[in-house]
Order: sequence, then C-alpha cells, then structure tokens
Amino acid sequence: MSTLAELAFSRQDYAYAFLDAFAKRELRRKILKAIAIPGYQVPYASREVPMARGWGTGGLQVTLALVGPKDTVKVIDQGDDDSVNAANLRRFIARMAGVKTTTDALEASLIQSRHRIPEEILRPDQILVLQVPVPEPLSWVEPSYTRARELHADAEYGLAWLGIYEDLVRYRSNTHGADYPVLVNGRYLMAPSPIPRWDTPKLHLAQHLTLLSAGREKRLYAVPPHTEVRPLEFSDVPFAVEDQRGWADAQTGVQNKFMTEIPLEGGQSRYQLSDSDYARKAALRLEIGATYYDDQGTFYIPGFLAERKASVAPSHAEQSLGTD
Amino acid sequence: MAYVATRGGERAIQSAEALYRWLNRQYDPGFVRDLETHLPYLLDRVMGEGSLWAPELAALAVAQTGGDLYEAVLLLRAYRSTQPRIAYAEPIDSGSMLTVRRISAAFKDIPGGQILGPTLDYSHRVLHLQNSAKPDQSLESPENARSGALATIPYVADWHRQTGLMQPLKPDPTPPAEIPDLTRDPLLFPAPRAQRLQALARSDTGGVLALGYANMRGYGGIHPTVNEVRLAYAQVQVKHPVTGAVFSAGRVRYSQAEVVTKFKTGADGKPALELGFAATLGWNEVKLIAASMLDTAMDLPEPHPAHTEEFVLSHTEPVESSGFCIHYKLPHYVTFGSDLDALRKARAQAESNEREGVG
Amino acid sequence: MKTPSPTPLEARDQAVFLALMWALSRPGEVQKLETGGANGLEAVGLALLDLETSFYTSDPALYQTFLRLGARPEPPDKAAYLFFSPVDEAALDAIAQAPLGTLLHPEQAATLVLAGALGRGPRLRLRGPGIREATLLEAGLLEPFWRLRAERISFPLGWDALVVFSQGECVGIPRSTLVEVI
Repeated sequence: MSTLAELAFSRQDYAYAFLDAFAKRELRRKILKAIAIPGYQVPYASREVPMARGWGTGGLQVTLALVGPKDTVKVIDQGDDDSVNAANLRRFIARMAGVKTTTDALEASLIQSRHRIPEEILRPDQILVLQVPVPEPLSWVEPSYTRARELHADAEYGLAWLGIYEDLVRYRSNTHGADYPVLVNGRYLMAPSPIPRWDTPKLHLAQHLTLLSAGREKRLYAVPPHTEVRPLEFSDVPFAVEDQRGWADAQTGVQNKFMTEIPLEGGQSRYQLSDSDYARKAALRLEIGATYYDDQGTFYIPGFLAERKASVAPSHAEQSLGTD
Repeated sequence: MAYVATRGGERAIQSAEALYRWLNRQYDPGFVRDLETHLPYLLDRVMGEGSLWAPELAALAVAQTGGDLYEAVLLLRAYRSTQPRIAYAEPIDSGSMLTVRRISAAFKDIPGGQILGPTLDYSHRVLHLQNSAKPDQSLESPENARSGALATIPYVADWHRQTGLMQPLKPDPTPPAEIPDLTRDPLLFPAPRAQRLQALARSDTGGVLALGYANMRGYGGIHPTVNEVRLAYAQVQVKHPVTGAVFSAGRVRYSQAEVVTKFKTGADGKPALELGFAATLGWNEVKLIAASMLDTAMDLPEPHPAHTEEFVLSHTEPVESSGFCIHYKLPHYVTFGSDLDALRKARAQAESNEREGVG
Repeated sequence: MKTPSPTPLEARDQAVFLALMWALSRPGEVQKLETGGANGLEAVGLALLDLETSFYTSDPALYQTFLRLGARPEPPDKAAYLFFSPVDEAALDAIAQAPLGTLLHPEQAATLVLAGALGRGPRLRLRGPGIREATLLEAGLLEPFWRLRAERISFPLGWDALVVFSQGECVGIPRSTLVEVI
C-alpha cells in the first residue's frame, strides 16, 4: 500500500538491510514461530545473499531481519571480532543497515556469532544470533533430514542416547567435542551450533534471547530467555566442559575462560583467550562485566554443572608458556 | 604463525581481493560482450544454475570472477534475490516454441521429424590449432532449410499416450502464482513435483551428472531410453496488470529432455511406460539427460540411497554444496580445540584403563 | 554506495515486529506497540501479512486492508493468521477450528491476534519458557477463552496468541506457556 510519505521516499539501490520487504517478513514470521516452539527447527526460504553458503548466511539473514538504525552490532567468529569473516559480515551489515558497530559484548544490542558465546553474561535486552552449519542434532546418527524430522515429531531420541552410550562403551569417554546436543524445554533435541562445551551451559535459563539460523539448510530455531537447556548426559557420566585447568592466556595471565591452543615448535603450546574483546579489556584493565564462569572456573548457576573430577588432562596442561 | 597473517580484519580482506583482481587483469566492456557472443554454452550453464536469464549479467559475472563458475552462479543468485517479483509469466507450451533441435533415440523417425540442429555431437574432437595463430577461416554458413520450420513440433510422448503405452496426462489447473516455489518455500520431502523440477533446473551440472551417471551404470535400477531432447527459444509472456493483454517480455534459450522406462504399472493396472522429465534455462543437454533419468529413479519404490529425492536434490544444489565445501577454509579452531579436548580425555582414559588392566 | 535507510513503513513494521518478538520471548510481559497511527490489530497484520500468507477476520475493515496487502482470505480452519476484535462467542467458535499444526510441522499452527484489555478479566498466572518463575497478567480475555486454550493446546501443537491492547501495548502467549486462571 502506497502512502505519500512512502512514494516521496527517494529510490535506493538496495532495500534497507539488503533484504526486500517480503524476505524480511517471511523471516520475521518464522522467527516468531521459532520462539513459540523452543528448540524446534522452523524451515524458511533462505534467500541467497552476497556471501557463500556456509559462511554465515543464515545468521546474516536473521540479523538483517532484526536490525534497525538504532542498533549496535557486534560480529565474532571463533570469539574473535577481528577474524576476516567476522570483519566481512560486520562490514556488510554496517554498509547495508547503517548501524553502529562495536567489539564490546556489553555495548551491543545484537551479537552475531560463529562458534562462541561471549564470556560476559548477556543482558535481558540483548539478542544473540548464532550461525549454524548443521542444524540437525540427529545428523550424526540419522543423515536423512526427512527421517530426523519424524524422530523429532515423536520425541524419539533413543538413537542420540545410544550414540553417546556406544561412545562410552568404546572409549569409556564421551567423544563429543563442540556442538554438544541439548534438550530444550524438555522437548526438542537441539544442535546449539558448534560452540564449545564450555559455552553450552550459558544457554540454560539465559536472560537473553538466542536465535540460531542455518542458511544453507534453511532452518532457524530459538532459545527464548529463561528456558531450560540441558545437555544429554547420563547421571553417572555427567556432561563436562573442556578441561583447560592450568591454561593461562599468554598475554594477560587470565585463567578459567575459554582458551585457544596455539602450537609452538617442539610440540609445546601457548594459550590465548578465545573471546578477543574480553582479552582486550583484561589487557587494558578495563571494567569487565559479570562472567558466566568466575576466576576459579565455577559456573554462575550453582549445581548446574557436575563437580569436576580431578584433571585427567595429560601433561600438556603444564606446558603453558608465559611468552608471546 | 601463518594463521595470524590471515587475520587482521578489513584491510586484509580488501588487499586479498585487490591481489586476486590484479592477477586476473582488468577486463573491458568489449571482453564482456565477447563472452556473451562466443561462450553461450558457458553462460547458459551459469544462468541455468543461477536461475536467472540475463546474458549480459552472466557474462559480467564470469568476467568478474575470472571464470570461477561457482562464484559466478552465486553472484547471479545473490543479485536475483534483490529483484522484486513483478509478475508471473504465462505457462509456455514447449511444443510450439521455436525449436532448433529435437531428437529422439526411441524411434528412427518421429512425427515432426528428427531435427539435428546445432550440435558438436558428430564433429571430430580435434583442436583447431591453426585458429590459435590466426582468425578462424573454416567458418561455413549453415545451409538453409528447404522448408520452413513447423509451428508446433509434436511430442513423442503424445504418440505413446495415443497408443495407450503411457498414462494420459492429467491437466493441472493450478494458477501460476500458486505453484510451489523453491525460492519462496524451503524444500521439504517428499517435494511437490514443481519444486523437484525447479531444483533439477537449478542443479549443479557436474553434480547431477555424477548421480545420473551412477544411475546409468546400474545403481538406479532403471534402463531408460531418451524419448526426446529439445533445444528451443521460448517467448516469455506476461499479462499486463491493467489491460490484461498478454505480451512478450523477451526470449530465452530453453532446453528439455524426456526419458522413458518400461514396466511401470499404469492407471489401467497394466504395465506402461514411465516418463522422466527435466528442463532448464539455457541449452544444457548433459544436465538434462542425467536429470530426467534421476527424475524417474527418484520415483522407484525403494530407490538406491543415492537416488532418493532428498539425497539427489540436497546434494546437487550448486550454491549450497560449493559454499559449504569452501566454508571448511574458515577458522575452526574453537571446534577443533573442543575435539582435541575430547580426544585427550579419551586417550587419558585409555591409558588409565591400560594401567589398571581393564578394557 | 550510499547506506540505505528504512522507509517510514519499514520502520513501523520493524518496530511492530520487535514488539511481537519480545512479547513471545517474554510471555505476559507488556510490550509497547508503536503502531504509527494504525489500530493495534491492523498494525500487526501490516507487519506480518503479504502475498504469501493467509488470514481470517470477521472485521470488515481489517478484511479489506489485508486483502489489499495481497494476503489470501481463508476460513478459520485454514488461515495462518486470525484476527478477532472482540473475542466474543462467535470468535471462540472460529478459534476452536484454528489450525494447531502437526507433529511434523508444528510451525503450521495458527497465530491468533486478539483485542484484549489490560488489567481486566480473570487473573492469570503464566509459567514456561521466557518466564522467570511466574508472571501475573489480566488481559481482558474471559474464562471460556482460556478453557478453550487449555483444551486445544498440547505442546508442541497449538496456536500462539498475540493480545493487543488499545493503549498501544501488547503481550504474547505462545503455546509453550502454561496458563492458570487464579
């Protein structure tokens, strides 16, 4: 419907935030359904955008459907604002939506991320958009999305439990790395995207809204605030986050935040904070917000994570070198 | 420390693109026009997979990407998604298109005749080495036809239907705006027939060939015959929104293939021929023959896993498959670190089991 | 290239969408609905409907508006978006038919957009995703509506409700919310 104000608006090469009104409305309708059915993968049309599929096109489409001129946007990849793909997405969002950008997790109204959740506790008014490569948490046991959809319909997650059980029998250890499957609101099994296990508990009863979107597979899903998100675990073999005890950031000496291991010649390693803006604040001794894990590595919701066993981590943990 | 070198945000990105463009040298508008003139089959492939008929833009896309076809297809697709949908075209009867080639392997001669048309099928595949040094001297003008082209060229399948060998075609009155649209609704399985044909039309030529070839070698369990391959120019007709008059919006190159397989139980309960179909923008015979065979293979009661609809259509999508493939170049050090943690734990567990003599 | 800016209609639709998004993210929590002069139900329709959606409404003015958007009118058992003002007995008959989705596709359930009155009607206690412990709400919808909801909804099946108040406010009550009339 045309109004005078609309007709008088000067013609632009691209629509605001790149996507046309139809694409945005479709995404918005699907986002509302995703929020109403926590953890359920809502199919959506997923337009091609000027990035290759698999490079954050799903997250980008959700961001573009949400964003307005008053937003402040942060984009990270592996925790790093300066990673080339994060920089590329940020540049595109800023160019198409005219938003302010930031690296500070607490300054952002909207955070698009690949594979990490920031260390500082997100506020209730913040939105986290996670890029998802493989939205189907059952894909490691059931490659057909059509059959997996039937399993979700029946809440039939025996195959996923069996997969973990078989791991335990074979290796006496849970071999899941990142993207650890979680049960949302007691109903839907969900792939939290390839965040490390360190970040998985941050979704449980979070204050903020998390939207997850896979552009290539054309599925988006949500974890509303204050929603139960529990990793699949056996009571006698509890879920465990990565064991990085003893690892210290080479630059700041910070411990008990998620670290990236950087190999050195001679088989040794040094460690670096994965959350690059947390590292920046720590290095400059700026004020840091409350964090999900305290300086001793204790998670902020008491009792949610099982008491950690004594480190079985091999000797490499002591090889942290305090040099750059 | 190689990884640190590829970090560094926006300046690094800009420099990397500048180096890429510098190595490919500048191209001028004349080059883009030459591409359009001399490489129509290349552009057809890009436009078919890009699902956008725009030869000038396809030529530009090929030039801009230095001939990296997956990148060129992505450029067209991304451009396409910024364009508003202003109308739905009228359905086209492919029998009355301006057909330049129509052959059938099923019969020696067919109603309307075998029309060989433009093809390299029977040429000797020798490099014209002399043409690399001086302009092509061998170009002969094609001989004019002795009679005018037929206004309509009947389908071979019509003959099958008339003779009762194939089930009659049910008319489908769905208005164009209500046909399921792959670009507006996600593909879910079993897919509506319209979406299946759209997915095949946009599919990756190489991907469809690989799966189609597997089918031909026996993994599909069908032994099809090429009923018909057609290359044509199609008038795209649109209804004027105010006057209602139908007018031509332009002409596109169009191709389609039909294969038949025997022994499918027909509507009358007796064995009948089953038709496989595929069509695309541009002329691309390899893709269509493979795709039309896959079309029938997907309908088999228990298709080979590589010929189930989900498998075929998910894995032959050029933008998705190529994008995901190259995404593995992105940093994955968080996930890899998490995997290493799980591996070290499992190794430590195995060591302690060994010490304790269990497992 | 010049950075594009939102047209006035885009800005309005975005603001309305964000209000609805937070409304469903935090069920029962009142959100401000900036409708730019349109009435609340109409603004919600304008933000969500287009050629690709179906709707049902018994309100003739809304019907005409949504038709102009290109949206498809459908009977209440087929429509994706149903608009009711007021939520009277006839509305309840229609709501009773609204699609609940299927286990394979629960997202195909309807969205109800209802005219309510904040601070009126039965007192409700809401629990579930999006709610820290519990939220209390009076939305001006009478007990028969809540009885019908309890009968029809069985998570993950069931419709999601957006309740719009005349003062430019709204709340969301998705199917995931447990509602007790207290």
